[in-house]
Amino acid sequence: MNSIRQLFPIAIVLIGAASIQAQPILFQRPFQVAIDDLGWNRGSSLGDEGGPWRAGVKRIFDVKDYQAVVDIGKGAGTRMQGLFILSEMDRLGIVGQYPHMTYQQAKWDNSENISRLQLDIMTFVKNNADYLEFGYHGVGHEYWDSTGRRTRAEYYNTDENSPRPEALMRQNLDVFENIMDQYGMGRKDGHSFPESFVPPAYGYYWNPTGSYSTGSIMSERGLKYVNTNFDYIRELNPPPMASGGFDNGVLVVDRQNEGNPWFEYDSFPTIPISEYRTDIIETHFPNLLAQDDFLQADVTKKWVDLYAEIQRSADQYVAKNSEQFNSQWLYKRHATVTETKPGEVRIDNRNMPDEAYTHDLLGTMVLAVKLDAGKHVSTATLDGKPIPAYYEDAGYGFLYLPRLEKKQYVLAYTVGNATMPFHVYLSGTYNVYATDIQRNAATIDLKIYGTQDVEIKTRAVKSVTSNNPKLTIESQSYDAAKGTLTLSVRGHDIQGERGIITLRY
Amino acid sequence: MDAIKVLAFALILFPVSSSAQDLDTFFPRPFGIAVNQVGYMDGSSLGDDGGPWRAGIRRDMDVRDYRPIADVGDAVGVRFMSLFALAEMDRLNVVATLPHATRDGLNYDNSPRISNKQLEIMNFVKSNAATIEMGVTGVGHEWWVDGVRTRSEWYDLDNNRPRDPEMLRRHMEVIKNILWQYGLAEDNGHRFPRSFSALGYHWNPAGPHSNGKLFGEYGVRFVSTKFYIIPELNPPASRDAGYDHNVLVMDREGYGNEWYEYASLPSTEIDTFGVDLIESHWANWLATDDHLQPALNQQWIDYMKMVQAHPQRYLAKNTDQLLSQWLYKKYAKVALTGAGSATIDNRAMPAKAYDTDMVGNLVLAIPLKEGERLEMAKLGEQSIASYLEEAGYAFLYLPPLERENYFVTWSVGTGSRHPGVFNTGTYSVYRSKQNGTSTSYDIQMHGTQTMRFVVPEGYEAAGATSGLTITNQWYDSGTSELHVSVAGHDIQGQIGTITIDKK
Repeated sequence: MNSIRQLFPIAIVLIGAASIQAQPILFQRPFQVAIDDLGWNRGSSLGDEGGPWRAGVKRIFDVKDYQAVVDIGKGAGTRMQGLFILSEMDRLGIVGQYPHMTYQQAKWDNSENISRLQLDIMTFVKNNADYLEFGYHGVGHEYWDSTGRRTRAEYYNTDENSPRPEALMRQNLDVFENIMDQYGMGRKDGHSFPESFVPPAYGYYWNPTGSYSTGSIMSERGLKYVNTNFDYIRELNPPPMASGGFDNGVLVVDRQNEGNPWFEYDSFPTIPISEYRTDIIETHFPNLLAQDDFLQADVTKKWVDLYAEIQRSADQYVAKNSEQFNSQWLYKRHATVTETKPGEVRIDNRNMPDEAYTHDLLGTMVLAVKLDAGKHVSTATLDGKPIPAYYEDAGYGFLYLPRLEKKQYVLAYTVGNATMPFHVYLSGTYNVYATDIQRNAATIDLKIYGTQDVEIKTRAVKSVTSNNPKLTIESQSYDAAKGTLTLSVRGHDIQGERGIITLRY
Repeated sequence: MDAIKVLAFALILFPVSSSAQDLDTFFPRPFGIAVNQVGYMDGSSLGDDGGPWRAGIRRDMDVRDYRPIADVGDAVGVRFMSLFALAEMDRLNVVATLPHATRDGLNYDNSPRISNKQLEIMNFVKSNAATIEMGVTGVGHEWWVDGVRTRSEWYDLDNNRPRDPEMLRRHMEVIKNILWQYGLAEDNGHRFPRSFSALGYHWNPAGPHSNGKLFGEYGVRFVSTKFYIIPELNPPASRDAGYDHNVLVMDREGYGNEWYEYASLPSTEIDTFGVDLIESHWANWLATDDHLQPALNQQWIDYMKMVQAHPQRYLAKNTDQLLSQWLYKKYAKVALTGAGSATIDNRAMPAKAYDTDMVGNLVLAIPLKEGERLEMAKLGEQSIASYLEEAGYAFLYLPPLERENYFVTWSVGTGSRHPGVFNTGTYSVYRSKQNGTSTSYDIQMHGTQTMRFVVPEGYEAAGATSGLTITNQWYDSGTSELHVSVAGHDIQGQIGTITIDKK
């Protein structure tokens, strides 16, 4: 009888004020913004000269531009999905060995870009993995044939509706990894290949039944999630608009642009949030930037306000990161959530496709409860076990459930004046997969991006340890009045470091 | 007194009635637009860090950023007053001799900006004097004491007091030096810039020191500023102008386009504009990237064409012409006396306008119906030397008028074209003088332009005075015009005479 689980009914009685929530549970759509075209050193378009369009703004990018993205992420409580083009980050001239990757072909000369700026930017990216995801977009964005003719785009020929040669595409991935290595962001330095990909100009070779597709060569590297606009590859019979599917180990979902052109500074979707056609929407780097630094604070605030408006809506919530977004995207299509009676929710996840598990694409599920002022979710169990993480924002209590297996579950919850007795309060952008609390110890299974504060509602601890040497506890503090332990946890792998943290009492 | 003068005098005393609207159309207000704060190599504002605000756009400037001014000017026949802040153009670091011109003062170091880009830019400006008037706004735009900034360079707006006149003279010398670094000084035949812009202006026409006194000593003739920010100096009324020593100082206003806004045109109605020279800033003329620039240029071109078609405004071809018309609008009385005649009483033109050589062309606009053209135009008995048909009007460029009464006659129809210079460019034609088969034209040429002479076939450009070079000529029988390419040396305008004669 040591388990807190067996003490749970008593705890509910002691809380006293707990009650059944009057408003039904919400199974919301996730929301995420993909940001294309980070990584260019120079923004000005070379499109009219047969080169890449780059960011379409006449500007030399520096670390302040990435700071703006991170600031939006911090304000919105989300890890921004940044999609990088890396050719101009090449400091060793490696790109010149592959003529199809740039307009300069074998004469590739990146010397004018090689400077301290690049190091500053990539160091900043590495140090801000908590709010900026280093995602994959490409090397040169387009494809240049042996005559120097440009066709769109890097990974699939949308001009002539034909796949690119597989061997060359693997070279692109190799070069991308080589440039990552130049900044200590590669495998040899303990960092995984990016998890997220956006094909340049929506050129994605969709071929789920064939041995070669864009997904097949990406999946081999560890990439998991793709978002693109299916309209550009209709000849390949992709899933319908606003839909998605699996392609050789990766989840590919449709994304649409809602009105902000790729080259516009300070540019937002032009239609109401309720009319967004896809859960992940398209933006480009300039859209998040002001034309000059002294105007950036206003632009940043507008983006944060947009996220806040979404977070306030009953239909959508702001996903904390790409894994969480894609997990919820899958749950929304394959799971059903039914509140059979107030405070009792049946979750049927039996129809989740096997690919979601075989390729480790599925993570946490998020449910939300509308809260009156001063109220909190006071208890929440999934099949009798306390849920691992919880967060409140914009008048909602967000319940972070563990990864669900292909089966049915019962979630029971109450709302009251008190908060749950033991949980991770997920104010950051990390993922919590499971918690377990015993009399003398508790464990938390989580994945940390960068360095973040992990807030845990718990009694005072004697020690805190991690089972992963690359997941380190940098500091800890306990607020006895709040009953909250705050751990500063650093994950080495910028793509997320997973491990188990043990609290001993 | 000859018959024409008698008639003119009689008509001035007893003019034929015409509506004010007709008169405003016939004798329109000039329109000019200044481009402020070009010349920075880095556009990003340092305002929040105690530095200059610069152009307010994160962009490394290059020669392409000057092309829009030239391209729009070329399309609409206007030479735009472009006002340079020159500190970042300094290739010899002479700015570091000025303790107050930059935030870094005597430690100023411009070496990171010294590159071919500067040379390309200044060569472009020099080669495009037809459409870009090189004016000046200052060295560093503000004023710093030990790194602490006050506004602005030429007058202390924060404390309402003049700057040290000797220090300002050193600023002028540094401006001269920087221009010299690019071969734009008097030793190369280029006058000091004629137009200036000062956000804070020390107005003191009766005193021993003023900005006008200093600027005038260097050859500046015109300054635009904002009178409302120097009320303590009792400047002329808002939207007016006045002489400060030998410089005409004019109030300027902006009409909706903020100084830092990319691709931003005036947003208020032209009918509400209280001044004739309106304000814009460099960023307003630039697209966020070069691939978007042609579309923006077209917006500016369309805007200018709208102005040209406006019944009470016309596009002044250059600053001299704008100032001249401004003076005429203020001091001359024009009356329509018939369907093809008018009188001009210019007796009230102040002597100062002549002393400062500011009296130039007077512009009249005659509405044209579809298919009509100007058949004849005379000032007294003299044929008017230059005109333009555009936007439904025939614009007559009258010669500089003395302090006298004049009588203008004209006719429009479908007959033969009025002979003279059909001025689609930005140069000025002041007067012509016929001597047998030869006609000489007094002009001020800006850069290299093609002059179009309406003459029968068989004529040629026979010669030009020093500083003017005839680089090419051909006869266009389709338009019955002799086209003559003329290069003026002085980028501030080359004054001289060109002669057309029978071959």
